[in-house]
Amino acid sequence: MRAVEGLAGDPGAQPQRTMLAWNRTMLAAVLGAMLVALTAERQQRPVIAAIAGLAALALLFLVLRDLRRWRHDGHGPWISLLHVGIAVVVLAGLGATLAIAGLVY
Amino acid sequence: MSDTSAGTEPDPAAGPGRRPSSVYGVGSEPDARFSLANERTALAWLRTGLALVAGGVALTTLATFAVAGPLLDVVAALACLAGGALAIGALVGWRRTERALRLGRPLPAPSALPILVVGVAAIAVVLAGYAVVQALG
Repeated sequence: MRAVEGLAGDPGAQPQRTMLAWNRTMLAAVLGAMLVALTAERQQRPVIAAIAGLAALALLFLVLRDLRRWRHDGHGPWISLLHVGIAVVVLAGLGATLAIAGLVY
Repeated sequence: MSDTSAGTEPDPAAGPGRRPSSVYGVGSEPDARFSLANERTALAWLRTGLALVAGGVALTTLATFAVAGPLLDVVAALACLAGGALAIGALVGWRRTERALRLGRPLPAPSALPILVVGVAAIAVVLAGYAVVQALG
């Protein structure tokens, strides 16, 4: 859990809510990558499936590393947000590629 | 939030290593609750983008055995691209809001919201038309 100054006894439980939002987002991102990978596998496009799986692994690794740095020197959430955003854009590109490939072939 | 009206001089506690400097180089440290709420809003936008991507990918599966497969593929591609655009919008919106919080300015309007509403409505109309054509034909 990230230490946030000035929130001792905060009734809104803001740090907890934020950490739960991170949990939901990471769960959604990994499940989304899994959906893309399984769909690509089913449509005989193993390259797209492999990229989706690697994207999920890379995202987990990067965000876990970000979290450790976060606790140590109190950086803002920007780097982690950027990593998740890039992952969503990559998944969007893979999904669009699947759709266009289905359209062309 | 009494300390945000102080002005625009950089916060000495921010330090040089805090990124992005276009956000943390201006204004003063806002109430931590507002920063955390901004972070949760960005995460909610990222999940919205993920939901659009997941819906689009699911539609490509449907397109492999539905009658109007090409139409569904077009909708799927649009949904995926809209999801990616929302993810970029989430990052841009986080930066704009964090800057406004630090400078004590009015918060910017959510610029991605009209696009999302129009996009979802367009997808719904296309799919409804498809359903009607399927039911009649």
